[in-house]
Amino acid sequence: METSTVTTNTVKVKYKQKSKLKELFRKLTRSWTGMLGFCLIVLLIILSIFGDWIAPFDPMDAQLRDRLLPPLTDGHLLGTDQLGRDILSRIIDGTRVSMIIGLATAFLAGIIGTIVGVIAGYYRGWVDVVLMRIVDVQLSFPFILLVLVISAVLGAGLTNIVISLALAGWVLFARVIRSEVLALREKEFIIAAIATGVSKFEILVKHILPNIFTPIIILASLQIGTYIIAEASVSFLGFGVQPPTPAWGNMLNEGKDYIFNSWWLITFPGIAIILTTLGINLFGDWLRDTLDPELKGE
Amino acid sequence: MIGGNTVSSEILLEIKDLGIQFKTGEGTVQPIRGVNFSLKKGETLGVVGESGSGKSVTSLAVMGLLPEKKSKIVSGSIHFNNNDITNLSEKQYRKLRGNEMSMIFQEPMTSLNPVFTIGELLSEPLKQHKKMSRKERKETIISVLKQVGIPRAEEIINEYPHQLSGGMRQRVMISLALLCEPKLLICDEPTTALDVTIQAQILELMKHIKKEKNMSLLFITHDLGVVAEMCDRVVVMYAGEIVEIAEINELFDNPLHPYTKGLIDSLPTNNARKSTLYSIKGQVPRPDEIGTGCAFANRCPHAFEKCLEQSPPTFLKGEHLSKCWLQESELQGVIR
Repeated sequence: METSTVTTNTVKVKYKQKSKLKELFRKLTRSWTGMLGFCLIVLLIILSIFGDWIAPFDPMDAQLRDRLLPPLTDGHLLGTDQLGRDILSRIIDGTRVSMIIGLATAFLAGIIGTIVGVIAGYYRGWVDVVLMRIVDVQLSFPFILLVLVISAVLGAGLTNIVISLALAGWVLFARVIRSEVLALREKEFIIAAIATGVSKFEILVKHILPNIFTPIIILASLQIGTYIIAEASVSFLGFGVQPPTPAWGNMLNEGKDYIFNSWWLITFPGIAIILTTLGINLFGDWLRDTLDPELKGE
Repeated sequence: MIGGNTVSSEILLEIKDLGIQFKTGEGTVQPIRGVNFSLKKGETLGVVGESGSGKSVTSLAVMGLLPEKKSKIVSGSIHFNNNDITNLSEKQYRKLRGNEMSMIFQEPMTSLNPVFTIGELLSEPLKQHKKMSRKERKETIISVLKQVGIPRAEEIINEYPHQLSGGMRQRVMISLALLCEPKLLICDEPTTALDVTIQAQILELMKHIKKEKNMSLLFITHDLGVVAEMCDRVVVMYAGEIVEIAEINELFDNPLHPYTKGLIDSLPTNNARKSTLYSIKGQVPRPDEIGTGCAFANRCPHAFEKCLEQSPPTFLKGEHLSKCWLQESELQGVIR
């Protein structure tokens, strides 16, 4: 008797959780922009995991006899580059690097920026002044210059490029989050929560953080595109991902010398960057609309 | 019938000579000067006054919610339940807030955190102050929601604040304040943002609950109609000072301070259609504009020389307290 009730309970709970996910997916199917973004992201994830099996050629295999072949010749769907490597295979292989750089940087920069912004905005006083002056100083340098300086110090390589992009990019998050927190802490519901006996730290974690989730998501999804492109610029100067490892950024830079007679060298990596940014933005937008309880049901 | 029968003589909240200072860009101002009043157990005390008269600052001081860095209690003390709570640490205050004393805010639309469901919001004070299992919490929440007249409480706890109407949200706010059965409930204009029919319902509800739980109510409002409906005694504040304290009927029948008279005269009545309503000319002075003399003197129709020169002391006529030189002639007893 006892066990049977327990089982029905767990079944009920499981069913409920499943239906929640289902509900979310059902909402996704109703918004074509969200669905498009979701599909693009799924495609990118598949490409970055199974790229090695999907790519028709070896992305590193240079066939100098076949250099600069236009698209749709000899089985090279998107043509070959100046060293005769298949562009489609290189784009597929580069997905992994670009995704890692975009996502990891946005994650890292988002975390640093959110922590700094929340502390500055919530505790105010001299902490705020000191942190925001640091942000000001950093914002007065051009983003790309800062990335170059940091990666020159750290050296080349995937991890280092992520770290230097994040160290240069967190300030934007800090600024936006701080202003959000500033506005939030004066809201009546925060005072009302204090009036029910909640401690300051709990106010911060339980009442303020969930309310700034939306701007974080939006900013992160917008910044991912910027980071992927910034990585390209840094790679161009030799600080980023080292050739021959294919990354969209260094494909763009290597291809730019051939822009007048072999357009496909930079067009296809460029399209890949645009589609990625678009996909993440569309999905981020949809996520915000869905997760924001005030917009729910609209 | 104004639940006066449940008022005991024990004092729950006593404010003595309270002075609060605020730091501003141009130095300090003192929006609260020498405020004295007490609240008995089971009593409803109204605090009335125009915007800027210091009613909200006083109530925030009682809750310990004044902005820490910008404000300071420079004189006087606040006693709650025979304990001095003027200089309590944040940690000690947290044990009082939501537990012994609660507050209902003016704007039900913005006083509930939009990212939480009603159930999550309401479980917070219980988690803070009471040791309860999840199930007990849920039961308590549902029973309190039913007490404040929310239908289908079991469903409401899974809904978000924006799904409720203004009146419903204010009911949720009230139940949030009532969860731990506080001794003192501070209501900062709880019905100002509601329309009149809902306002009447909410006031009726609060009266009912107050009587049932035998709480004390500090009722802050600028609406004398609401005061007449709810309160046992009234404190009239003007520019950070108390100008009059009286029992409710006494105040309406025999107001002593010209400011109170002005407030009462500016109420619309339903037996005489006045073409224009009376209004007190001018505005409440900013705290930095108050000089010597009576703060109300520049707006007072009865002001004479002495009013401009000297701040009036407090005159006591039985239980009826007022701060106006006009009372000097009928002087009964002077404090200070």
